[in-house]
Amino acid sequence: MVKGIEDKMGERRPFEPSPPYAIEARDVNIAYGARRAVLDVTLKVPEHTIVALIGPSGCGKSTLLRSINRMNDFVTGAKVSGEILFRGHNIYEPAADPVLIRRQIGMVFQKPNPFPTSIRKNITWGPKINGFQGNYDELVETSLRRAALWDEVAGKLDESGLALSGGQQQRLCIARAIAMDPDVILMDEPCSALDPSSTLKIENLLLELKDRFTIIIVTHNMQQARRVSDYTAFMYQGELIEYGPTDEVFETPRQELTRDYVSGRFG
Amino acid sequence: MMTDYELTQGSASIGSPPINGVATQSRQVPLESRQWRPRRTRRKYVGYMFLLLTLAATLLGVAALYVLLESVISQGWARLSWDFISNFPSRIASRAGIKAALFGSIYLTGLVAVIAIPVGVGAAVYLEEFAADTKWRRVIDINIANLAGVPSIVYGMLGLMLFVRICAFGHSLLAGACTMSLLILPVIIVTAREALKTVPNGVRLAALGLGATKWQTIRAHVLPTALPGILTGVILSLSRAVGETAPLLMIGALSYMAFVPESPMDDFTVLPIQIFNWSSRPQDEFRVAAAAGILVLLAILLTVNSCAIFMRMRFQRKMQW
Repeated sequence: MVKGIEDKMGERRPFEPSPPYAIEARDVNIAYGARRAVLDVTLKVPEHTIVALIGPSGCGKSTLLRSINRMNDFVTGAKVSGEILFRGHNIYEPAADPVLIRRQIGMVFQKPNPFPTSIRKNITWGPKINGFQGNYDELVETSLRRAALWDEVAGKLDESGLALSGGQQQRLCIARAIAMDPDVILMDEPCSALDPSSTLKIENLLLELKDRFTIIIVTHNMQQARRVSDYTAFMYQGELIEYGPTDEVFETPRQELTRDYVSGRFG
Repeated sequence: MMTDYELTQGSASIGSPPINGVATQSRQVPLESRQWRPRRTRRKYVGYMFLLLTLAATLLGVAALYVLLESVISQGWARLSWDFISNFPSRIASRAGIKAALFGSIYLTGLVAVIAIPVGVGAAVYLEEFAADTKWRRVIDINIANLAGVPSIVYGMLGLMLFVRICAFGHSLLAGACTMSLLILPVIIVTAREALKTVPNGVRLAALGLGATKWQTIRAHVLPTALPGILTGVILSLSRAVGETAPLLMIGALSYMAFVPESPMDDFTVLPIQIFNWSSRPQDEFRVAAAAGILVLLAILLTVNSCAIFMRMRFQRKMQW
C-alpha cells in the first residue's frame, strides 16, 4: 500500500514493550462500510504509561482510539475485527458489555463537552449511575484536585460547568473521567481547541496522572507527543508504521515514512 | 518599510513639509478604484425596498388580527358574564351559556395531552435516538411529515371508523380525544425530533463514555436539554386541538348538551362546535353569544400559549447553558 514499507516488510518486527499491558490490540481492522480505516494494527500499551498516537489527518488514529472503549458502536456502519484485550478480556467478544468497558476505559474528547449543569453534578453523575457507594463530596474534591482544577473552582461547585473557560472545561472533563476511577483514559486531541497555556497545564496534568492511569492520547501536535508520551505510535493510511519509545521514534526512526513525518516533511 | 513609503508619498504630494519628519496631514485618496462599479445607491435602495416589503407583510397579519379582535370584542364583550360561563346552552338566547362546551374542551384537551404527549415524544425519541438509519426509517420519516399535512376532516373520518365504530367508543369524549391525538401526533413528533436534533452530540458521547446506558443518557441529558423545544411543539399542537372542529363534528360530537361529561365514555361538545352552532342560527342574539364564546376560546388559547412560554423560560434557566 505505501511504497517503501512493503520493501522493508521483512525486517519490520512489531515493537514489544515490557508487560503488564493495559491494552493489547491484535490484528485490529476497522472499516466504515467499504472504506477501511484501520488495517491490521497490533499494539501493546504497557500499564501506567502515556502512549501517543500520531499521524496525518485521516490516518485512522482517532478511529483506533475510539475502538478501544467501543465508542465506535455509535458510528453507523463501523465494523471492527480482530481482538482488543483489556484485563485479559477481548472487549469485542459477543458476551462483552460495552457499558462496563466504557466505565473502565474513560474518554476525553476533542471539544470540551461538560454537561449543561453544575460542576459538582458533572463529576458525580457518572459515579452515581454506576452505583458508587463512597463519599461524593470527597470524590468531587479528589477528582478536581487530580485534574488540577480544584483551586480554581472550589468556591463555585454549584455553578454551571459551561461558565468555565475552555481550558478549565477540558480539565473538568478530565476530572469527570477520573471520578470513575478508570484503568485507562483515552484522549482524542484534548488540547486542539485550547490556548497554549491551557495546553501546558493539561500536559503537566497528564504526566502526574500516569501514576494512576494508563493514558492513550491522539495528537496532531508532535511537540506534545514528544513532551508527554513514553511511547509513540505513528500511523499512516490505516497502518501502524512504527511503534516504539518516543525518543527512538522521533530521533532514530526506523522507517523512512516516520522520519519524513516527524521532521515535518508532510502531514 | 511600508509605513515609511506611505508617509513620504503622502507628505510629498500634499506639499506641506513634514514637521520634525512627521506628516501633519494625510492625503485624501479615492476610496474605490476605477475598476470597480459598486452601484451602492441601487443596492441600498433594493435593501430598503425589502425592508418595506417585510414590514408590510407583518402589518398585514397584525391588521387582520386586529379587525377580527375588534369585531368580536365589540359584539361579544358585553355578553360575557359569570352566567354565560356557568349556564348550559338554551333555546332562549339570553340564557344560553357555554358550561358544557367549556368543560368539554378542557376535558378533551387534558385527555389529548395524556394520550398524545407520551406517544408523540416516545416516537420522536425512538426515531431520533434509537432507530438505525435504514430505508425503513426514511419511509417512516416521509410518512410522518406527510401526515402533518392531511386535512383534519380526514382524521375525523378515520376516527369515526376506528374509534367510534371498531373500538365501539361511541360518540364519546374518549373517541374525540383519540381522534384529536392522531391529528396532532405528526406535529408533536416532528417538532420533538427537531428539538432532539439540536442537542449537541458531545453531551451524548460524554454520558455514554462514562458507562451510561443509552436510556440513562437520554433520560438525564438529552431529554432535559431538548425539553424547552419539545414543550413548545406540544403546547402549540394542544392549542390546535383546542380550536379544531371538523374531526369532532365528523365523529358526532353533540351540538346541544345540557350536562357536563362525567367520564371519558360520556357524550360531549366543545367550544368551537358551540360557536359554530350559535353562529349558524338566524337570531342575532345567538351571534352575540357566538362572539362571546370566541372571546372565551381566545382567552384559553392565550393562557395555554403563555404557559408554554413560561415553562420554556423556566427550563432554559434550569439548564445553565
